[in-house]
Amino acid sequence: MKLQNCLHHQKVHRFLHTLCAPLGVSGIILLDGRSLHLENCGLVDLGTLPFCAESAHKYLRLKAGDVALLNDPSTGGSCLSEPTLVTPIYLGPGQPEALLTTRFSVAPILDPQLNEKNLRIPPTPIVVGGQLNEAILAAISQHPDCATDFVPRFHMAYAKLQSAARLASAAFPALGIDLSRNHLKNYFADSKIVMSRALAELPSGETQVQMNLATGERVKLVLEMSEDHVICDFAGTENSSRFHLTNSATFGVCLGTLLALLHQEIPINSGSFQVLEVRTPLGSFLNAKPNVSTFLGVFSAAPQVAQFIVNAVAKLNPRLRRSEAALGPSFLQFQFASQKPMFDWALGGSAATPNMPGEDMFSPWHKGTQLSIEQLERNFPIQLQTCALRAGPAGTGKSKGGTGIVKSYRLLAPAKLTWWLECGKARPEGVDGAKDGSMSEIYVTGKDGTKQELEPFGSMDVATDDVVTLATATAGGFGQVEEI
Amino acid sequence: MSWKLGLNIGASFAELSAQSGNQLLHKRWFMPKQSLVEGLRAFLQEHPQINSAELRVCSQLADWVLEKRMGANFAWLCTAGFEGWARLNLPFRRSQLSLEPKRAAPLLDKDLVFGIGERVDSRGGIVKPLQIEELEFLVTKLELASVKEIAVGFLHSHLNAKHEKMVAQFFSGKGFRVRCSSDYPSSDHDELARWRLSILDSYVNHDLLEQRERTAKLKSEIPQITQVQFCDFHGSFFLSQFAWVQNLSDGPIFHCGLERFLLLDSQDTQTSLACEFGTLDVTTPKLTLTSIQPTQVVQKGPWNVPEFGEKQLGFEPGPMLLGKSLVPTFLDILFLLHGSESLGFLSGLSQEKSEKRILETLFTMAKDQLKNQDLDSRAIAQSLSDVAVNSLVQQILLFSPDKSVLCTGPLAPLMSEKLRAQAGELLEVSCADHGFTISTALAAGADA
Repeated sequence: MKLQNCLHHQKVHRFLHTLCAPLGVSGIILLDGRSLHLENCGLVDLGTLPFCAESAHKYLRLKAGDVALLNDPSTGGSCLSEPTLVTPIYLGPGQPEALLTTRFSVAPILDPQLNEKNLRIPPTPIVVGGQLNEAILAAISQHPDCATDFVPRFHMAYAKLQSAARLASAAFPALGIDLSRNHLKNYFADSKIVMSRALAELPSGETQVQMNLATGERVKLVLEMSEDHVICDFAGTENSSRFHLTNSATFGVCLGTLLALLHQEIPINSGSFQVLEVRTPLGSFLNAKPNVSTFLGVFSAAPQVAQFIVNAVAKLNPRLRRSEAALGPSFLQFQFASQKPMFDWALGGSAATPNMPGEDMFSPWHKGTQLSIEQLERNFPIQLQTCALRAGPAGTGKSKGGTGIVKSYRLLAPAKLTWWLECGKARPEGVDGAKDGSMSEIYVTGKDGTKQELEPFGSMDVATDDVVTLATATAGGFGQVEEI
Repeated sequence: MSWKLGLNIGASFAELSAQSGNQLLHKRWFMPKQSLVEGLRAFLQEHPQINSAELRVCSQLADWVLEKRMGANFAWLCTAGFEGWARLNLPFRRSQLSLEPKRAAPLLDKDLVFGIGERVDSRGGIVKPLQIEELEFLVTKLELASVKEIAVGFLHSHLNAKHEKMVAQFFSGKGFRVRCSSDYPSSDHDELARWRLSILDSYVNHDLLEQRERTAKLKSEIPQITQVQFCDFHGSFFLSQFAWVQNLSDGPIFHCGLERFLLLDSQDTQTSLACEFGTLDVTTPKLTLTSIQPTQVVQKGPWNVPEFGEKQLGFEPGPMLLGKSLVPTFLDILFLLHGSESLGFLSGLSQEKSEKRILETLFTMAKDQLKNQDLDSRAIAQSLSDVAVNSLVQQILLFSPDKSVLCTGPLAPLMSEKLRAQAGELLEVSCADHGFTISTALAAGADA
């Protein structure tokens, strides 16, 4: 890499980072489909956000001042509760045409089978020539399957997108950022070199692994790692009735896992993507057909697949081994009469490694902030009795596994409860002599004190004054405690 | 003739302004070399016409107490069943996916967190009354642990503060200093955003109180000083560092301090403030820290050339130009490119051979890329400067919808010139007359 180029790349990268950071999950995608920059992305976002932007422009032929809104996974959405906004930006004469995109979250709405019921939005021209289409927004917000927080969150995301788009168009040419043909070519080429250089810290070789998801589906992976290339071949992976990930989502999972394994910041763009090849068989849950619910795929299967890849890499280098942990969130939904449902979630503790304990209530694969207790109680007929770390010796070892959390909800009105426990009924295993963790649990305690333990997922009616307790898994520990 | 003195106490620098009618005098000094009292005495000796003055004081110490984790042990009392809630919601530091990111280090000692049996519901109704007798055992426990500060946060206390007030009264009566989350004006139903203020204040209380006690003594130690007044903001020690902002004039300002860069607009407000520990539920003038700070470190980046890291060095040991540190900072880049005179007050502190050392350090960071290239360390410094100024221009444009900004503070002349040169017509940049923005605002005497 030439020094002059590197100095310019740094300028470009910093500019793009400063532009995108206030947007949260965001990116700049060139009209030819290449990703120029991705920021704050989760696993699935890395693969789906670029596809989303491309789809929006393909269907709507966006012009200056237009904004597209979409969430449909078949056109690049991750899941229905994560809508995406896309708008074109003009970077100056001789510069590539690009799309600025950002994704926001709204409360999921689930049916008793845990499929997402949120309104499916195909690529929709929500803003045309700078004018918000109030009629479309009103129609969306009045739909019974539209989340109650959709409109305020849309407005927040749209305001930030507008500011960033204006800034990009004004500042890009004025601040000496040059992404004309040769500079762009060098930027991508050198990004690939940066990624390859970082890959050198990971082991090389080939390994085959197999696992079953919590609900029994088989996942197979042949992982080939060399100095500058990684192949994830999922041939032999089964289909699932419950988990679905689109092809682009699976690519994002693999890329995100690689990035998580590297201990340095990497410019995330199509240049750095080039080191990775992902092969997903048609008909497997990793290459789902359109119009299926991807909610459980995104929140449960994606973290499991990510961890599966980490475990495969650890077979090539045992120093990367970690204990077992619940990888995605456990969640529940209360559907009250004449009100949109309440959705809440919690993470278990993260895995321990030979040198470090796990973090409490954390997963490396899930981003998101907990809902405010006061807001939940204000908006829904519930009262939380506790939000506390689980007690007990589970997960102890030389490095302790991260601890899960207990959340207890007292119902102030009857409701239909729907729930999903990450980790199912499995106790996360400790490694090398450490204690196993504790499994996720959910139970209902009636007014008379009777306790009913529930299966890992399902749906049932609960009554006023029932207390629903969700306890997320504590991770297994790593290594035996040394005796003095 | 009576004078008003405004004193801004930073972590390493003190800034003083004296005003009487149209007369305005200033002084800045480096506290590791000249103490607060010594600096004040020296100023008054230089200006014997100041024979009677009221002193108004603002302190930036809270920032540094938090940054360096120097605060006091304190107890956290919250609704039973939610003892770990504040700690569990501390943000993680890394935005890119990582297997091992770290939460912001907690301020709370786990052994000093106590759940109190009480409950208020979402309408402010009392579900479980507080029993004062429950608190008795805590007194001995806290005394044994030498804890003097207590932060209290109960659910829905913004709707019904009765229980928090009972706790505050009980412990104040036993000689403890108590901060309740309901003490602060609240605009939203978010217990964490409200609790954090009482936690932060309890953490910084001790150090700021000590500083205040020392500063209050100036009235007895220095005969010219007739009164000492401290500027607060919402009654909060932590927020008092922003008290001076309310006294500023119109429009967006880019404050270019030696220790901190800040974007602010006292004509506009924001209803939450982001900090390392999460969001705070507080209404302040619109303000934000910029992503480039004066002592932002320079380190080797993924492109194998130096770039700005996330950490700030502060002034202990400080930028390399002071001769003690081995890590270059943004101030060192400015020093290389524009010379020590451009850095105003810092020019008197720069050490011989610093320039050579900084150049050598940049060279070492980039040597793999510098091989067989006809560029040198100064070119790297120039590129770093461009990156920093670009970043600042972008942030200013996002902050200021009318694309104009007034630069204030000791580095304003240099930074305003750089912003103009880089932003061109994109941004209208003006520069304040002098670099003593904060102390002048304090001396002007408007109420906080």
